[in-house]
Amino acid sequence: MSLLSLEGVKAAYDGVEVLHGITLSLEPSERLVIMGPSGSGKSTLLKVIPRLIEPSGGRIFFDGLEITAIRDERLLRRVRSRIGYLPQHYGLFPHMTVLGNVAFPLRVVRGLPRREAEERARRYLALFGVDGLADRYPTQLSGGQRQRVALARALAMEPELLLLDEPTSALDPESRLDVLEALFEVARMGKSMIIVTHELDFALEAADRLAFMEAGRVVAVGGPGEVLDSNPRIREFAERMAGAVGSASRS
Amino acid sequence: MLDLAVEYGHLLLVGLGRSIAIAVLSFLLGFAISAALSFARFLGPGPIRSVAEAYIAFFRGTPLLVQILMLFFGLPSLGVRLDAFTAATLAIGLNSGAYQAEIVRSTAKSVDEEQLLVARSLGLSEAQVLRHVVLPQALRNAIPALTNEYVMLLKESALASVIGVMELTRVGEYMTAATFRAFQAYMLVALIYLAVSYAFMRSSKSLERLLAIPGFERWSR
Repeated sequence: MSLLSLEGVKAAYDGVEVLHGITLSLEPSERLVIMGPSGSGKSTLLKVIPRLIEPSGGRIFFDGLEITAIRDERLLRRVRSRIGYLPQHYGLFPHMTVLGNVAFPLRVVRGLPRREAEERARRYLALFGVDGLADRYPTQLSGGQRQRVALARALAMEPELLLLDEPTSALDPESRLDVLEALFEVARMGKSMIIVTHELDFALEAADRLAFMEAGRVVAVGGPGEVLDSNPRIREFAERMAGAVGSASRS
Repeated sequence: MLDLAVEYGHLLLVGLGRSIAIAVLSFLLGFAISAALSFARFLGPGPIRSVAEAYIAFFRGTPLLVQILMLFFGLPSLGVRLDAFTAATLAIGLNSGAYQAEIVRSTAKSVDEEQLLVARSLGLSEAQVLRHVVLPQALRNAIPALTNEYVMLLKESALASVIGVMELTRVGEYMTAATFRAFQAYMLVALIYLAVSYAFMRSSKSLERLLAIPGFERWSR
């Protein structure tokens, strides 16, 4: 059974439809990369899955449960807590320390006692090499450090699915490599994920499938190499974007 | 002017004490009301939200003096009789609640959208998002505006003199009646207001520094 499946999912902002019926599925442990020009609906697609934005049509199933049919607030929150989401600009809470950012949802949502929550938080921070920053505040960190803390926070919840929205696009070249390395690490963990990114290397090496979006539709989906090989236009776009984000990781 | 200060020193102190009491109590009342209004606004169902909005519109849209007169002279006709101090403090507090709620709303908006998205995605309820994510930031951001509000209240407490509360301004009236030196009497009163407001604004800077989030330079300045 698929971990996640979307059937004709639509979304609209102020009556203007931006997703025109997306149908996609994700198997357990599968990694799906989504590419596409800006405004094609990639970010909206990620937000619609845990219903951070209400879809205007279609159905979404997660682990056999129809998310779009949930009416009970509590149940929806429980499902959301099983799906990690990372926005482009980290979304760290500036009034909490690094450790607090990671441990706080473990206590409030998972109900872990403080010590246990902090222990687990430190473990995940260490996984991405930022455990030394536990007592700092987010504004005292570099972009790459922030993104790794955000990654640790999402993973510490031990979600079954991770949604990442352009995790490297707001970063300087050095930070970008650090985060890319962290993403490969997550990929090695076998975590199911959907990642919106223009990182061609990641798509080719770590992704099982690539979906290409354009104007609110998925126009191509399949093995990354296969999608790029069969669509010269997509390959050209992907290479141009990869060139724009820097080629440091190709060596 | 100095001789006035010496001669009426005791009365001025009592008056000042009462002015500060009105300001502090009405500020606290206003703070509690603004918390209730904010929760109603952010979390309440439609009708509750409308009640909160109507409350705010009423108290911001009508003169504070009219509100004080309504409570002091109007309520007795409904069988509720308040002494002048209570009526003035209550009216100023109810009024301030509306303004403080507006302050909280504007600073709550400054919390960026991604934090809210992440908080919800982690499985927090709307009430938890408000309590753990929005309010700790919004209230810190609100300190300068709330300080300002407190100073406003100290000055607005002068309106209590109209219904006979023996606060600082009323002491000024009393001194004028007794000595016919209106300019000096009111100047003296004005300087006392100034000294207290200034001292308070200075100390609020320390509070801002104390509560500043490390790394947020604009607060640690």
